[in-house]
Amino acid sequence: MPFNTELVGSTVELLVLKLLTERAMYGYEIIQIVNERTDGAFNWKEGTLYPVLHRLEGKGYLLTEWQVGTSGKSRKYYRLTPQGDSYAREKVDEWHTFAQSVHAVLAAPALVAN
Amino acid sequence: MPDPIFDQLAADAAAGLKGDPELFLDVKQELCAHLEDKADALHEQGLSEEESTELARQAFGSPLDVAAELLEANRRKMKLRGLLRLAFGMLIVPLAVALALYVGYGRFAREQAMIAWINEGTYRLPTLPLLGMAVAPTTNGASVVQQLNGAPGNAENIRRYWEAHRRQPNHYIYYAFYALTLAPKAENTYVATMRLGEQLEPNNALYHLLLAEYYLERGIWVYAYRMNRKRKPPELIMDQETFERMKAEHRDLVLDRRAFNLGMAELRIAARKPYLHEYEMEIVRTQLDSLPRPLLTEDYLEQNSVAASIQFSQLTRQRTLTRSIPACARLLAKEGRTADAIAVMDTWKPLSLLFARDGDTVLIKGLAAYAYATQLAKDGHDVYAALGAQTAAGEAQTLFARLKQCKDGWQQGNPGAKFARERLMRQHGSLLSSLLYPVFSGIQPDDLRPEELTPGRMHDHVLFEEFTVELVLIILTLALVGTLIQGVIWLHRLRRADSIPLLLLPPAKTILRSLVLGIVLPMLVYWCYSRLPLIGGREYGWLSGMWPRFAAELLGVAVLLLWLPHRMIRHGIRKRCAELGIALPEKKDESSTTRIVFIGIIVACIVAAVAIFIPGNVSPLLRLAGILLAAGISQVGMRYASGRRQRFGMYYGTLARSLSPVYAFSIILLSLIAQPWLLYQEAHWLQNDMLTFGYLAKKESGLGMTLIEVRTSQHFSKLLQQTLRSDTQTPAP
Repeated sequence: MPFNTELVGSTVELLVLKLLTERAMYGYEIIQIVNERTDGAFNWKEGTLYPVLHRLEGKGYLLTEWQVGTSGKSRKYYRLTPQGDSYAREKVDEWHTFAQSVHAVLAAPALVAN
Repeated sequence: MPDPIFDQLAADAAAGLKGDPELFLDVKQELCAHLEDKADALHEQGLSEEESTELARQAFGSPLDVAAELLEANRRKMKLRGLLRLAFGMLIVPLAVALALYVGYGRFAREQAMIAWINEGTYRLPTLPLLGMAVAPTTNGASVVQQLNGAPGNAENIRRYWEAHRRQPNHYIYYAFYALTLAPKAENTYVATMRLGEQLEPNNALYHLLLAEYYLERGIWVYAYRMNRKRKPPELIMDQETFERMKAEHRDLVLDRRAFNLGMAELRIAARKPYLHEYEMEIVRTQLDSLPRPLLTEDYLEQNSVAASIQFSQLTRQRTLTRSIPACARLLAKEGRTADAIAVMDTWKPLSLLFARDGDTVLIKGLAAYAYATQLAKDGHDVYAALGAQTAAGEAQTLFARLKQCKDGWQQGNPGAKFARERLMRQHGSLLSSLLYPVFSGIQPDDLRPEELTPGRMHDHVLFEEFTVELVLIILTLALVGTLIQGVIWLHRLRRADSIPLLLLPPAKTILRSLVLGIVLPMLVYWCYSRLPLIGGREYGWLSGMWPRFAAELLGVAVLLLWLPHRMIRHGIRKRCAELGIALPEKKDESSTTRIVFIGIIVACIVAAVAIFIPGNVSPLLRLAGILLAAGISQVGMRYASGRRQRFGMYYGTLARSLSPVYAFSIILLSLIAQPWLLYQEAHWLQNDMLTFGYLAKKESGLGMTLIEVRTSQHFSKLLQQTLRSDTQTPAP
């Protein structure tokens, strides 16, 4: 089911930050992991991911480093700066609170009119 | 090599970033890698290569949309990097060049000042290879030293000087200086000046000696020194023909009978006075106190020059008197006034004693007193013998022999002293100790402790380190200018000016490592090496003959300081170029090409330097031909290099453009940290050099130019006085 673009856009930054708290990753790897973990629900394009990565890098939340992988290919890895790490955790907490609030509304039994 | 389709796609997507070629290449490379990963994944799922490529391209979507997003995401970063580049171009590089020029000019100006002070002073340093520059003429035809001391034409200043100090308790000091340096003009004024001096200090022989010299200069014509003087006596009392005949016969003559008699009378009074004091050291201190506090070497040399010019200005007067005494006696003897002649000649010993006592502050004065005493003893023997005073003649002869023994004994000391002294100076002496050469020729090894020589030696080290840093700065500046020119050439040659990146500084870690391992560590190693006697043990001082070794060390350090940081930074740039997908030459090929270019440049520089600086009367056309030859060699080298490098033009262009900020930073760091620290060290060691510049710091140590000079000159003066007072009944051995 295709998602609303705005909805997707608002979660890209959060998901990227969350994944990078686990380890340093390169762009294609992030897309692959998101795709796997959402069972293909989220299939980001390059135009979706890279501007977000660059923006976070510009804000000082990410650092980049070119590394040669086991395949011999050179890839640009992104990792969180300490500032980015705090920001990521803050964003995740914020999302949980938000999601719980939304869920609380969505899951509550419907009011029966007297 | 990336797939051309992906390469184009990525380039289109990153097109908005072309204003920052490094960022453009970085993003393009990232997107390419992404597309390739995607295509590989599809290929692994069983699709053909073409299908995988096509699917990956389709999945990428419109590059225009991606480009807009990427530009928006990177806009702020581009602005910041643009500002940084602008700062490098407009601020860092010009600042580095300006600092390098400032330091270079500072060195040139300091050397000029040092040479000027050295040359205008009485002491002279041996010509140093580093200071062998032409001396600029002083303004107004007179040196600052002359102006300060009131050289001829500045009597009014001296008068004012006396006026300013006349109310002080020790005003006689300033009066003596005033009387000594005031140019004699009218007789009435001059005599009145000296009479007032007599009233101030009745026991000082100074004023009578000044009057004696004044009258005898006018009263007699002494062949021995007048023939060497350009000026003829204006008061000639004979016709030109007689004068020429006298000259031809090498004869002394009386010019003015009255002045002759007055001069002799003053001479005999002076010989009866208990002391002679000219107060030069006191005046030196007063004048030095009026100068700004010395800081660097040239300031100290200025102080030395001021001191020397005051102290030695009066030596010619004593010489005139020394030559006049036997001349007077001969003239009197010729007139049959034998008793008067003997009486005048008898003044030689007391006057020699007065000169010897006054020469206990500065060795040159002591040595002059020795020379005058020896001359007078020799002339005295001849004159006494001619007058028939055999006892006095014998006494003079004995004293002459003893005086010679006194000097020889003083110079040589005990057996082996000369060797020990030279060994001491070779091991511990400094370059500036050569200023005190006459002093060191008279010292005994026990008179001098190596610790006293340490500050002078450390000062030498600092001077040479300053020179090393300045040389490195010059080389770095040339490298900076060279890389800027090369960058422009590559931009032009590749006609892709907008795609050759100017890498903003390699990572801070790389720069820090380059500075620490490439500059600080080699300099520390050299610093330790040059100070540890067991390893390097280099001493620049006296007789050490270290110049070839220093030149080799200097060259080694300069090459190392250039090569190491360049190698480290180039390593970082190569890594970054690899990340950006810029084609790189093999390291081996790059090194061999660089070596050939480097050798070509060195050869061209040597040819140009020889053409420009070769001494002698070489035709300008030949010099021009040499310069053209150098230009030709460099052109051939460049063409060879560019032919081999063309394929990797992007890399070489990036290298050239990116090295310039690194060189600029190195220059700024060296100029703002190393050079000021060395200047501070120079000032520190100079301030602690009590031996060479002790008169500034240890005023209570006694009169004298320097500490060692005080010791030596007092020792010599004592020996001289003992000899002159010795019992002459016993013949000299």
